[in-house]
Amino acid sequence: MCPTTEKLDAFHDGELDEASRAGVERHLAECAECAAELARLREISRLFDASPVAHLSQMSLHRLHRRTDEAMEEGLLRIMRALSAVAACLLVAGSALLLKTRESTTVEVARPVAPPWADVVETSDTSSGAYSTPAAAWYLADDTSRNDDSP
Amino acid sequence: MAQQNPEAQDIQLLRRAGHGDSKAFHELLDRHAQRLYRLAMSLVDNAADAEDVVQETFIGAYRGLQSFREQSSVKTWLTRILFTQAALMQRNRRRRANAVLDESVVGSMADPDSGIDVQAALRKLSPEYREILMLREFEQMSYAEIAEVLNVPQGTVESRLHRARGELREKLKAYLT
Repeated sequence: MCPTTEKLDAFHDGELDEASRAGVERHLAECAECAAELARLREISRLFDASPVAHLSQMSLHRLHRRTDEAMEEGLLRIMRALSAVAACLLVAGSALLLKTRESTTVEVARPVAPPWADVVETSDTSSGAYSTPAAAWYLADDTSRNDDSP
Repeated sequence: MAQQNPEAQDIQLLRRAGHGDSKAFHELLDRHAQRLYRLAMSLVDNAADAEDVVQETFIGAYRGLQSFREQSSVKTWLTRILFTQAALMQRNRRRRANAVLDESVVGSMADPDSGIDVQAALRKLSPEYREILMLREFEQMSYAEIAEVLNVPQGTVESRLHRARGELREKLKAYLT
């Protein structure tokens, strides 16, 4: 039985495994029609082999190298530009953060720090004997006793 | 590197290029430019366009260096990029309703001995037949490589190649025995 035409193409192109190849070879020795088909395939390939090939001139090749260099440089420039943009963003964000930090620190420093007894003075009620801190109570009690001792 | 086969050398050059070695990329260009140009000449209509396609192929390859996963050969990878670039160019040029073939180029491709112009006959084929014949007959690519470049199953390569040869034979029947 004749192999499929695709199989004959594959035989011609060296795409068959050893066993299939041997089978087609045996068939070709007996089948004139398939042998003629193979000859036609070989003829087409021979035409391709004989066909003059397009050739890139030295000048064109040089131009190709130059343009590739330009593209590489452009790529590097693009990367550098992107990095510069990132750096600029970081700088701006950093500056803003620094400024904000400094502002909040300044506000805290500007606010007068109340002395430990400030609350006591404001809230103490000597008549009721309620003191906001034990230290204040002790101080005022001591002061009262000093007044009692006075002549 | 002298002991390595061409594919391994290509991979080495591509790795070096990926690490910023521009000299390695230029070496890669020297190794593949002629081959790609020859292919491009069959895919587009004139020498200037073919040169542009090759140029865009290398620029595309350079930009995509990091995307190459070494799962195919550099040759296949570059060929695939070339086909994409050629298709893009053809799409952009399609508006030219009556694209005129560069006769000087066609003339220069004729076989002076046989009088058969294979390239001219190729141009009369559909793009998919032309591509597959170029890859097989000029590039000597295996069916597996062709399948990878064209992104089709290997069975499709077999059947398409057979039909393409049949079509080409029709175009050249006056010259074939």
